[in-house]
Amino acid sequence: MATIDIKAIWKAYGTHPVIFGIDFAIPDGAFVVLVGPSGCGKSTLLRMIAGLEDISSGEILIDDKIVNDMPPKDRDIAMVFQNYALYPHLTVKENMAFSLRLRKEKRATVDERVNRAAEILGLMPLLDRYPKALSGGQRQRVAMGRAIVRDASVFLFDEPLSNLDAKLRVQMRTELKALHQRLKTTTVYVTHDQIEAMTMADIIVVMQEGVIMQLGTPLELYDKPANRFVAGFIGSPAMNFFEGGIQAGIFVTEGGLRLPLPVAGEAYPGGSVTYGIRPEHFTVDAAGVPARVLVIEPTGSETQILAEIGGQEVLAVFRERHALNPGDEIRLLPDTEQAHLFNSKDGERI
Amino acid sequence: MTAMTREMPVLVVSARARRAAMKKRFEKLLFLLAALTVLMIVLLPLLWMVASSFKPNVELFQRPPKIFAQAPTLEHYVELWEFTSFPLYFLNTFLVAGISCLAGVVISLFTVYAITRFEFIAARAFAFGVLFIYMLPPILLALPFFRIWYNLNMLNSLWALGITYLTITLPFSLWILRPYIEAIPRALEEAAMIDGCTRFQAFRKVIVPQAWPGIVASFVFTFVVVWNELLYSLVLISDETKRTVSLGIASLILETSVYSWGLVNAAGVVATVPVLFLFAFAARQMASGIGAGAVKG
Repeated sequence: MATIDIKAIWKAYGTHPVIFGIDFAIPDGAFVVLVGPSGCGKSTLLRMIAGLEDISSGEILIDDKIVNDMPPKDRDIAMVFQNYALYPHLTVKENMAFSLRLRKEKRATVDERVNRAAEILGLMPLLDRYPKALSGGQRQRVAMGRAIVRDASVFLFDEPLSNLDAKLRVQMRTELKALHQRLKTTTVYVTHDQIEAMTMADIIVVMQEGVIMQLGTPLELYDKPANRFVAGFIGSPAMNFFEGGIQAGIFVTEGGLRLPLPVAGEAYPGGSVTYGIRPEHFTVDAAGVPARVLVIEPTGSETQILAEIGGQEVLAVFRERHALNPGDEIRLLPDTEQAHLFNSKDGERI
Repeated sequence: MTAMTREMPVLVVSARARRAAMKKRFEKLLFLLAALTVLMIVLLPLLWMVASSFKPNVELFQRPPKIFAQAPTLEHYVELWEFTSFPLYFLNTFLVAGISCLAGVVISLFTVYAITRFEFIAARAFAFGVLFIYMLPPILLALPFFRIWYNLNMLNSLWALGITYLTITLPFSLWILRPYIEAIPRALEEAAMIDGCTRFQAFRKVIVPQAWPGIVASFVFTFVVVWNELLYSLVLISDETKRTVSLGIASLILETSVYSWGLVNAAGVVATVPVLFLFAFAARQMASGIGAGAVKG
């Protein structure tokens, strides 16, 4: 296990910067997820931690040692790649034993550690197979096994589940989390899937265009998004936003729609404001704002309703069942305590 | 429970379907005939050469000619082995082709790796430059090489001939190997480097096994090209003891005219055998699919 310190890291390709002075610390044993849309720099940052990418400026420390110029093999890290990167000419067992053989470990030690990892991951019956004879899920497990046998201080995962089908992804997500709880190895995990981030992370780092938009626990990010980007990125289905301003303690959109304010907003001096409310924070209530039902999507456990409020489409999610039909006129009441206000100009939370 | 009866469907073949089947059979026959014609054109001279090598001299020029010998003999092979320098030509060619092809493959393996993995300005230009040299008529290069080796007092040197052959083997290997190396995912090397390899170890333990079919292919193809090469050896070699196989056969025809036709054919057969063996070996080694499963396809 190890701590990781990222200090004022910049990365540029030629004159084109892609990461802008990122700073954060990863505590020993933490499961940190770097999340953000494609091209936000999360994989580049992970590859810099791995030593596969040069650092333009700043420092990366693993266990208080600066590793900027240290080759990947000396960083005591293990990495699982998005596309598995198994050695096709080696069997599962040879793939998993590769790093140990390089270190010239004794045969008995190699066997013992490979077997232990294979047992944890349910790979025992597959040890003599070649990667081409494995399914996607099995290959991903072998890639994880290859990381486990290293007994490395840090695990790095680069979108390891994105090539799996939806069902297998959920299963592997649970397995990965269980594995971390068992091994307690410091882990940095890159994904663009915010559900993966929410379900697996101790700490989430939300990135956009090479900067950190917010860093915190999953519930901190969900409950108190620091800006409009995080508010829209974290949570599924995504938060609804209304543009408008505050007039006499009430949020009013340009179309005249009036929404009750959370306490924080009542004292806001003025200017353009974005009002955010999550789909699950609406109730059907006579005191609510008028809405026309457009689409109803029951999933069994909940019902998603796409409705039109004040000329804008809004998504609402209900655990309880409502007998509604498209075209019905209803009233939706936002839970004021769960509403979020953002400055429309810079997107920062009010 | 409802009783269910299953009846065998009656197959009714319409006249249209019959015509379509006939057309299909005719097309198949046409393709087969075309393939047989090509095979005949390619194999007939080979068959004639093999058959002639076993014919006694009296049968070689008889009229009308017969394909197969009436009284087969090994006399031409014995003569080739005992009274000519062919065994020496064989050794010379093996040495020159082997070293030149091996060097060509090794150098191009490193070159292709550098071109495909490291970004440097001249990479593309370099790759095309090498291809350009390969496109030049060999005679254009043969004369400067003659001058160079003459000045270095290395005419009639098998080393000089081998180095000259690099102008054939290097570009050829480079262009065969390039797609193989390019297709190997970088993540494989990166995984190896994280697993504890240096870049060179990753190259040796991951890239080379992955590129193996390409390595074998480029070795075999360049070996065959060099094995059959005549122009450079004709220009650079005049010493009888330094001749290569193709130069040996050419000299045999020039020196003995048609009187040793059986001998020439026997030499041709013997010269073909290593190439056939090499192709048989290569076919196994080049069996594709070794890279499957490395990364998500």
